[in-house]
Amino acid sequence: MEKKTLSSTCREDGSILISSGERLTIENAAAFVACLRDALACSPCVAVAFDADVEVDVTTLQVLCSACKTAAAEGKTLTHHGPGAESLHRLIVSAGAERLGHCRHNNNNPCIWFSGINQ
Amino acid sequence: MMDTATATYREEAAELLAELETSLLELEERPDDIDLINRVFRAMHTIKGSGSMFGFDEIAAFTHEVETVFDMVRNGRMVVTRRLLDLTLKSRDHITALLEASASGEVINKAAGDAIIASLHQLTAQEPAAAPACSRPDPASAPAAGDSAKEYKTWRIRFRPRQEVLMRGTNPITLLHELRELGTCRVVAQFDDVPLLADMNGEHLYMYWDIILTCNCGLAAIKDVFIFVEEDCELKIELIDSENCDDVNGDDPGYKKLGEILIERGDLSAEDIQKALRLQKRLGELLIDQGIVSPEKVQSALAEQEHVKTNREQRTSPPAKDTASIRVPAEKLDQLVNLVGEMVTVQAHLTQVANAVRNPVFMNIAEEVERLTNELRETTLNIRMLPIGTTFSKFKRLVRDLSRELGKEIEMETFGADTELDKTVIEKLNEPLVHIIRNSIDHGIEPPAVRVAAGKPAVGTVQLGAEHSGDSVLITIRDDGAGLDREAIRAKAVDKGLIAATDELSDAEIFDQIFAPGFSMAATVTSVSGRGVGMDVVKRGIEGLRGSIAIDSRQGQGTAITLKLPLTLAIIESLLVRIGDSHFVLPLTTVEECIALTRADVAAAHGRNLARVRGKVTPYISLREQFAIGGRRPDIEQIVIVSVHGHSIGFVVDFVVGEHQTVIKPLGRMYQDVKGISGATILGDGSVALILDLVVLARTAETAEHDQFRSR
Repeated sequence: MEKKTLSSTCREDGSILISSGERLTIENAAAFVACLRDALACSPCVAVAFDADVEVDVTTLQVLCSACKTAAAEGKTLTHHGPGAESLHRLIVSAGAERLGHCRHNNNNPCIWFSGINQ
Repeated sequence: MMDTATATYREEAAELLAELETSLLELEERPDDIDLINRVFRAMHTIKGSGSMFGFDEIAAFTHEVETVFDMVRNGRMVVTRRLLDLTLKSRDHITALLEASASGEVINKAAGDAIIASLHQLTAQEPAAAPACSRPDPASAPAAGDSAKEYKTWRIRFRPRQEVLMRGTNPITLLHELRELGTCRVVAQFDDVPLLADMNGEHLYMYWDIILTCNCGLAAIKDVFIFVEEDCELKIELIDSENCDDVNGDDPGYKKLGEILIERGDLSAEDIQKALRLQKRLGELLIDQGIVSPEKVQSALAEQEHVKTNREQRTSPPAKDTASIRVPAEKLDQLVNLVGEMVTVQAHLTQVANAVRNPVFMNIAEEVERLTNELRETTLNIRMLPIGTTFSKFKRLVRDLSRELGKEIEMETFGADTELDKTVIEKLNEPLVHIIRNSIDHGIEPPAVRVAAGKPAVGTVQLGAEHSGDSVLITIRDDGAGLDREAIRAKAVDKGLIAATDELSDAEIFDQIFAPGFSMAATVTSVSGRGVGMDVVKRGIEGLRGSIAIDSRQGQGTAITLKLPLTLAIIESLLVRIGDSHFVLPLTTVEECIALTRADVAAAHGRNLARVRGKVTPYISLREQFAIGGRRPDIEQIVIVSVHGHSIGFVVDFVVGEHQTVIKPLGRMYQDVKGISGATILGDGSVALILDLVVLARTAETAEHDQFRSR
């Protein structure tokens, strides 16, 4: 079976969809950073879709936070696409990363990544 | 990246296993020493934790079992017994085997590990049911007041790993899991330092963690969690609450103010708080405004507050770290020493050219380069120096195991463990020391009954020590055993044709016979020694290190074997001499003096190679004859008097050039068996000088004379 890898797709409405593939760890963290950076540079609206069994580690959390800060600073939108991944949810809990309140880096909006809303 | 991490783990684990062995052997002598018990536990905890992190699952799983037992010991639920120490030492050996197998790909017999674990389980089953070392607080089983072992305390932990920590294979989430196992834990990840994507390195760690932990463990147990990342993180652990609040804050309330907590965590500065507080009136001002208290009384109270605060800050300020170190692969150090060696050679050339040109500016520069090169040489050689104590624990274990095998009771004492030697010397010293110590145990120390009958304590002693002596190190192996039988050795030496029955020899010369190949005094061959293989190998090994070996023994009282070794094998101070067009160097440490040898002196000795040095007849060897160097002998030659095994002997040369920094280069395969030459060095003008092996030259000459005498 073909392995699913990190990829980005430009959709008809001009938004960009980034698909996690099977792995978002330190091994491809640099690629994930570059992918998000390029997407936010090209499009006002970027979404990230997580594979149901995506392998994640602490770098995933950092990259998502960084991307969220970057999007907020540039007035762009960064959202989820599709259902959240159970592995990411478990990581958020074990890393103590849950954010139930508003985030000053995200223009004082609730944190959609670590609040558990979409996880 | 991971290859580096696993290599680092192997190195660190090997060091921890050596430390573990030392601690266990010391624990055998002081089974109640809490520090030692903690050291054993911490070593195993780190081996396990790091092993798990870097994929050494088998090591982690096995070590976990042993660690669990020592956790019971640490918590007073088990006592240290000989059986426990035996099993733990076996476990240590098994972990070493697993570690080595992980590098070589060798398959380790799993049954051996399982048998050790089964024995450990059997041992723990005999102990009272053990409670876990740390447990979650349970209000229903609140501890009795004053029971400090079970007292629940709340700790504030800020764990800020360095950015590169992920690249070294560390997973901080694993550490958080370990903390959660200690008690009730609230973990808050902090993302403040996470940069924008443009500034982000995906492999760096920017997150840090604030953790509040309530448990009945001590600070040591919490620190243990971070033990293998302690150099890769900033770690702040503070006690913020305990059942006995007096311990924490003295007369403070049982909780801290919001501002205090924010300042303590480093999230706000005191100035930020001051700015905010300036907008509201302070309590003192309010009280004064309302006329409840006088300004003086408020001022006095503030002064007291300030005093106490200052005192507490002074008490709690952490001591500055006095040292820092980094881990460098040994090959890089060897490479550095080689480069410094080349530098010394080039510097010698520069000095030679500068002296020839006689340009003052050039000569000044050459002198400055010489000074800097000498400093660089000293510093570089010092970096390679290791305390010899790193090998002592290995020998303690040897004594322990062998004495049991032979049914003897032997204690090992060590001194001078801090004495430093070049790492190459230490590595090559291992085998000779093993031989000597085995001999001491097998032939030296008597069985307990024999010792008692001889009026000695039943427990024998083997002492291993090291000390500096000039630019050499003396290593002494002393036992209080039976000592060498002078007459028996003499008879055996005569029997083997090593000496003539009529030879008049000193004790030292007779004892030297045991270094002859195949010489053995053992009546029976044991698994330990007695095959006559050993002491000649020992002597060759020590001489190969440019060292010497001496024996002192008193029958019935014991034997002392002293090894004299150079501090380093890389660069030595030497005396440069010339014979015809050939240059030779002699190690300067052995040189006693240089005297002239005239034709008249030679004639006066009637053809014998003997010179009278201050009334004492000293034999000499003509290097010109020894190496068949042609050409005309100068009218006045020079005798370099050196000390070989405590005897003065001269080497005749044409001309003494002077002191020389000799960078030792090995001889090629074609020349490595040439007797009397141990190496070579390159001189400033690019020519080669041979390094004389004085011991071999003296021995060869002695043998030749002996043969000549016997053939008459």
